[in-house]
Amino acid sequence: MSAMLARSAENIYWMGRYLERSANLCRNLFVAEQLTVEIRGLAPSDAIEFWHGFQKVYPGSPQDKPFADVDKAMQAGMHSFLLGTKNAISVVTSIHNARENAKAVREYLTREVFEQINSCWLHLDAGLRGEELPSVLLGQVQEAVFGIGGATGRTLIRDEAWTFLDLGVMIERVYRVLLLLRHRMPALISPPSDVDIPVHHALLRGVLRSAGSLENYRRVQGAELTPEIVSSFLMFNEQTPHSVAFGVSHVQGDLGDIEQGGVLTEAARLVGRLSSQLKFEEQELLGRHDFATVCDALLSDASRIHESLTRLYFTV
Amino acid sequence: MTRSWKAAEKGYDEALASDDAARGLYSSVIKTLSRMDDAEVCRRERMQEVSLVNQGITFTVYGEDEGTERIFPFDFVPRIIGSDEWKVLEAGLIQRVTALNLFLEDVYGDQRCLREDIVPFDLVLSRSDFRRELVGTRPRHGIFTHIAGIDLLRDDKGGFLVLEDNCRCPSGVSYVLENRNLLTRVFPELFANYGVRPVDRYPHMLLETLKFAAPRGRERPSVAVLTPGLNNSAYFEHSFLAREMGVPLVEGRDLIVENDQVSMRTTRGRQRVDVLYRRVDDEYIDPVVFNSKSLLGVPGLIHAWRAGNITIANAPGAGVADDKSIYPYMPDLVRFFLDEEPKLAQVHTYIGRRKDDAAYIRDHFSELVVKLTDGAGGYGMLVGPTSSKQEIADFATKFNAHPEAYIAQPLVEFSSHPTWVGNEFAPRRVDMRPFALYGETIQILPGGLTRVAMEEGSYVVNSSQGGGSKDTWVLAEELVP
Repeated sequence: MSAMLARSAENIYWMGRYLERSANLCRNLFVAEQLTVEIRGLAPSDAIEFWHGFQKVYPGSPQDKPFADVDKAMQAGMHSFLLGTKNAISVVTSIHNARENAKAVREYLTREVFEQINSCWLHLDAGLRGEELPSVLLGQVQEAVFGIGGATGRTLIRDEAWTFLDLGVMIERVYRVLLLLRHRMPALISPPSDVDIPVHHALLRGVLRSAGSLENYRRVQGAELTPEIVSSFLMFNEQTPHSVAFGVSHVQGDLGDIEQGGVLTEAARLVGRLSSQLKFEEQELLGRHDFATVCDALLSDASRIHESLTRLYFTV
Repeated sequence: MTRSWKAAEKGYDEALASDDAARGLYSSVIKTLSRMDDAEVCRRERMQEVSLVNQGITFTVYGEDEGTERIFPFDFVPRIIGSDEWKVLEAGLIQRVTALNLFLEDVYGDQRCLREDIVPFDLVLSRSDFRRELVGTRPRHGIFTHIAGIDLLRDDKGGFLVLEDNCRCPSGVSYVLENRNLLTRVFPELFANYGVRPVDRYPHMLLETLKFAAPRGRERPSVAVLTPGLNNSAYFEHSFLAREMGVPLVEGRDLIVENDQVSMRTTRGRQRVDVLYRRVDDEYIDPVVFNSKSLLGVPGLIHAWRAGNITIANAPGAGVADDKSIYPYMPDLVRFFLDEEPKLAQVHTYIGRRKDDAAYIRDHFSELVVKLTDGAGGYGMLVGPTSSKQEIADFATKFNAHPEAYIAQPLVEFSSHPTWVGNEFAPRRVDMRPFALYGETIQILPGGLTRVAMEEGSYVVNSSQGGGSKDTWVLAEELVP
């Protein structure tokens, strides 16, 4: 197969974004559920706040009214972000959209990939019919999402379709990690003077686990756990697959594969600049501005890269 | 036998000569299935359902909520056709497809068959699928029907009859391939003792057919499948064929015509398309020439085709050959174009536009199957013998308003086949659609889509109306286990 249809490239790119979004949501819901169990006795307000924080970490999701009760906040959050068909940023919406994209590009997918996506959707469909408890369903869906990742990694040919899929995955990953850092870290970087250290550490571990990076962090940093090191690790470490630097580096590689040494495009220039900043300007970035401002600037760069890709490849 | 097998009470039974007595070709399959207890059969049936659902082998039914997906029920008892019988069928199908194509070449060319009154001039010209705009156009090699599906029935004496021709976008071949794939996985033991001819070469055969039809001078033609989109009932098949052939699946919005050249929008800019296997009806294929409101088509496509810059398969205008009112003339057309007697028989047909025939139809609604000449999918038809008085009265009103829009046929007591329904094997009526590819030669896929009416007593096999399908085995050589 030669050059991809622009519409197919866009579909497969979005399929990658939705799949990554579902994986991210599943992981965050797991973390939130476990963290709630861990800290609710010590700091119920932090547990509730963690659930309310979902609406900031996932902008575009419906704004629920605040709950005063941990169980109600958890139940509402779990329902909205796992099975909320009216929530544009829920697992069910993301997998539904990924499946629609997959149907539109089935000729580029292997049977295994499509079957895994379909099977994931069937779990959720059963959940929508109330046939499974949300916590059990979450486990099934997370396994199925891992299965999709396995099937794509092991069966898809490394051609342009693969590259656009990976681009979608990586752009979404960068965007999600930045949002996580933007909305979870500032409060942890500047805690109140009477901070409860065990709860503070639990919340830091929660951020690392939400980014699927706790074990990797420990391998690199050992047991030392400070907000600064966590932020730096998730932003600049190029080896851990859920860091911003890792994602940006992959986006750069994918664009290089697509452009094959041709004229430097706007998207490639934007990614190149971002990659250089992450590689060489860690101190300047963190020293010059507060952390939230840095995240906002990087989020804006990520959005510009996405828009540039859309103009270049999807609207021919 | 450890389980009882009931033969069809009416019509020919494909597999059983009488209750519990398998016909020769079926003895091994029947023995194997007889050895399985109900629990085992149900377990396998469940496996196949899960497999179909997981693979998303579904179709969308018109008239239901948008996005409603259904699996096409699959019955695992295979239909078996011996090699000698297949040879006869194959020759008949090749003859029929040849004649259909010659008819098309003629009506859009010299119109000899009209001038010599083999088919009435006004009948052809009044068909909505006859495209006046295309008169004088001859596609590459003169082939209009690159892909044809001919629907067959077996009558009560066991002989095959042509029920209808499909020359536009015949669908169902993906199920032929998927059914075989599924059966080999779920009931592998059924294949023991049989030399079943493979069907999985079809995508290769189709691609070769399409490449052969490419415009002159295109050494390595670029082929694409044109689909109306995700919501089309046959989208699974469009996507399946594109995937199996390794070609892009395009929608109208992916294509652009400039200077009579057709290109698709790719990530590396525009790329020329030489052959379009279209699964969009004529009506919607080019809003400049046909339906101006169509959003599914490509403005300028027909002009590019007439200029010889792209091949459209099947060719625009091919639908007039499978119009139900042309069907009664097919035996005469075979004689006229080929100077041969038809090798395949067909069902006697009354034509609503003939006064005598219309009167006969009115008097015999309860005995006839009455169909719209431009209908498909089992819609807009009356099966007289199974309809209530009220249904017949309602249909008569429609018929009387436009008798010329209908044909009628006596109800053929077509054959039945053992089918797993509920928790038993019972006879259910079946038809068959073999597929013909017209490239350098005409090739018939050794197999076909056997459709089965899942309801007891039903004659309606259409998937949109609850019908299912079976794997169809054509044997490499006669084998009586």
